[in-house]
Amino acid sequence: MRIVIVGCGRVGSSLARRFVEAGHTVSIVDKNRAAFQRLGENFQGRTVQGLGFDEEVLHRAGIDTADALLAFTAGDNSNLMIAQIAQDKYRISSVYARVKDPLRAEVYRDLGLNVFCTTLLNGNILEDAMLGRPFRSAEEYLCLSMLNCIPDAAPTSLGRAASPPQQDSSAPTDSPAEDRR
Amino acid sequence: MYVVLVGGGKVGYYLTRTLLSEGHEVLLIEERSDRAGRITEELGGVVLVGDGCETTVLEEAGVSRADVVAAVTGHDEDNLVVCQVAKSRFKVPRTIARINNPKNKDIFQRLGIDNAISSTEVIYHMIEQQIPTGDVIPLAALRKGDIEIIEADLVDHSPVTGKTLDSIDLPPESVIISVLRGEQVLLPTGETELLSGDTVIALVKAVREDEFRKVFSETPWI
Repeated sequence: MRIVIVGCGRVGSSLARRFVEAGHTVSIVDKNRAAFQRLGENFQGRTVQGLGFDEEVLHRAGIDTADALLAFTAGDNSNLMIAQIAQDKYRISSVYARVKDPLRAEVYRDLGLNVFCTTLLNGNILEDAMLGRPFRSAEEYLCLSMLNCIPDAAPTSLGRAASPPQQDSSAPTDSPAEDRR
Repeated sequence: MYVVLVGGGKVGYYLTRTLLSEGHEVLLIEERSDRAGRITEELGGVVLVGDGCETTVLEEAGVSRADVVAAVTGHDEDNLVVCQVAKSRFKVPRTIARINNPKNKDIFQRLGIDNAISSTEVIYHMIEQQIPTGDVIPLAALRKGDIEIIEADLVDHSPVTGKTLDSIDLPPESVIISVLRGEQVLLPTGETELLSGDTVIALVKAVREDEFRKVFSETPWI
């Protein structure tokens, strides 16, 4: 599968490495060249420096022929714009946007976007853990995190392939200072 | 009219000031409290401190009764989200987004923003408009833009040069009100012959403007 990842932070970079190891073709975009250091020295994918919602940058990253796009920058609005470009203009079937604000995530879920609210994911898992409740299935947590989870929807294959990092509750550790919004 | 503006930079500040002076009800949402404070000092209590992308802030601003929401920050991605949230969640009838990068115009329109305005593009078109001659230029809009006053400058090879008014096939819902010839202002009749150098002034229903252009302009596509 050809996968474009926008945002080479902790989550984006670790996903990029995992997808390359699993044999996928990966290109990863970040506005900051230094961010690519997170990928390690022997990264086999393509790195593209530039703003993720600049279509020229997305072209260089191969959006025209991509099968999947993940918008994982630190800014909710950037992710929402990138994901909508990918879904509405380039008709990419598997598009995921990370959104930290649950209310904004809800608005865009209702507009038909695959939003993935890490705040809700962490909150739900931690709440169950703290209150000693039995853990739910991964699918249930993903649905609670606003991911569009109609069983027949195409994106589930990527959802499964990507499930380890999504279950990793230590992954989204971005400090508030890193988040522009 | 109730207008909610998001982004208290130069554009947001001057828009607030202008809209207030025209008697509109305005609320400006600005994230940075130092900027918000300076604008409040100058314009009064018309500023709400907060992130205009947050639904709770938009709710506090009473966006659901706004006639227009205009997002004028320096970040296109923020302007897009403000307008989309205002439209889909609060059913705001008209959303306007400032575009900083002209490349984003296409995607904004595709994503349902009513007006996407790039200042680069506006200035470019103004420069362009200075160039053509023998063109048909809208002078003013009446009745909320339903009717326009239009000026057509005639040159030697304009399609109507040398014709009398009653021989011209005017589009319906348009009327020629005057012909300017040198220092003279003519109140024309059917027998008035149009000459090169004349300026024809007409009242035209806005929907007929294109038809009118085709009759009078040598370059109807401008």
